[in-house]
Amino acid sequence: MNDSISLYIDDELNLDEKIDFVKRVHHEEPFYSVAVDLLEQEKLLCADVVEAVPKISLKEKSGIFNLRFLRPYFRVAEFGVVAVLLLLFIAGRIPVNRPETSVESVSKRFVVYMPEAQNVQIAGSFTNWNSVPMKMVGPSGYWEIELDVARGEHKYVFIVGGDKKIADPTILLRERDDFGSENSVLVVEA
Amino acid sequence: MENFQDFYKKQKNRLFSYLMRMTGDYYLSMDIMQESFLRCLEKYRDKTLNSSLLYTIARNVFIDFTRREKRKTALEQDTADQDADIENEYRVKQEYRRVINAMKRLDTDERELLALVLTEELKYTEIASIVGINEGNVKIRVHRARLKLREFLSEGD
Repeated sequence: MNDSISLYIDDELNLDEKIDFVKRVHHEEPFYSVAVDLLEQEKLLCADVVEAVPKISLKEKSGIFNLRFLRPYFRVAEFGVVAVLLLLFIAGRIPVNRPETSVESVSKRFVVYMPEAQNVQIAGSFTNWNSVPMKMVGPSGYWEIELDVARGEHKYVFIVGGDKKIADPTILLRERDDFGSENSVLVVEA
Repeated sequence: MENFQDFYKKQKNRLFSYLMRMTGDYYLSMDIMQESFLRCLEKYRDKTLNSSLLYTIARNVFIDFTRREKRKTALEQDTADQDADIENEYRVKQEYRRVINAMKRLDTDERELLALVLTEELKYTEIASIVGINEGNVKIRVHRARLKLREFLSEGD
């Protein structure tokens, strides 16, 4: 049955089934065409849906901005602001940050002074928020790491001793996350 | 061990995309995302979190929201909602708008299965357990949904 195409796309085939799949693709033209169509379609479906994922608050459930009956009015006001910004942009009066989707990357060195720490890690949008251990620079008290970072805007934080999160003291630009703690904001220019 | 904040940061964008594909509604997706993470935080803070649990919670929140919304009559829809519809469209990436429109034409169960598959987080067996059907049905319906979507998208070309 043709549902093997979806099983292939979703990585649900075992090795024998993959062999059968490749043979069918090779020998049956209609099967090949549907497989290519659905793979192309999958690229479209897996693309980013929205321009920006909204921020939410995980601290409080209530608050004026969370009242559903008022939200339409905030939305209208907010939409007006977006429209004005769009017009200003079209008129070339304000610069716009480059999107985060650029595939080009540059090597960035991160350094932090933590002489008392047993271990220091870094986690950020460029590591998919996975913690990556930093290396101690001899007995200097400095910890460092060099990472490939895609061009665009990134957020990151240092993790000291496995649980204490601190923003990069050398970067002034910071942003509060949805939990109220601070992330450093790094802009890698083109 | 992964703590809640790490889990949240990893899952947030994927969960929001899943909800957008399910609802096509930016603010409804935002509400459901917030409620889902809050429920995770309140009930499972000290337990091992996984994507299967998160999507089960999100699905339940979605069902609660849609039940509530169905009680609204057309008369209760205010004019601001029409403006919100226009704005909602602008929130979605231009190239994705036709995908959302095509997905809206799928049956709800097909849309749901496809949206879960597109998270790239869940195996068919996990999806089967989230939705409450057997794995064989997931295979058939996911593929049927993809074929239908191909048809709907080609109509727009």
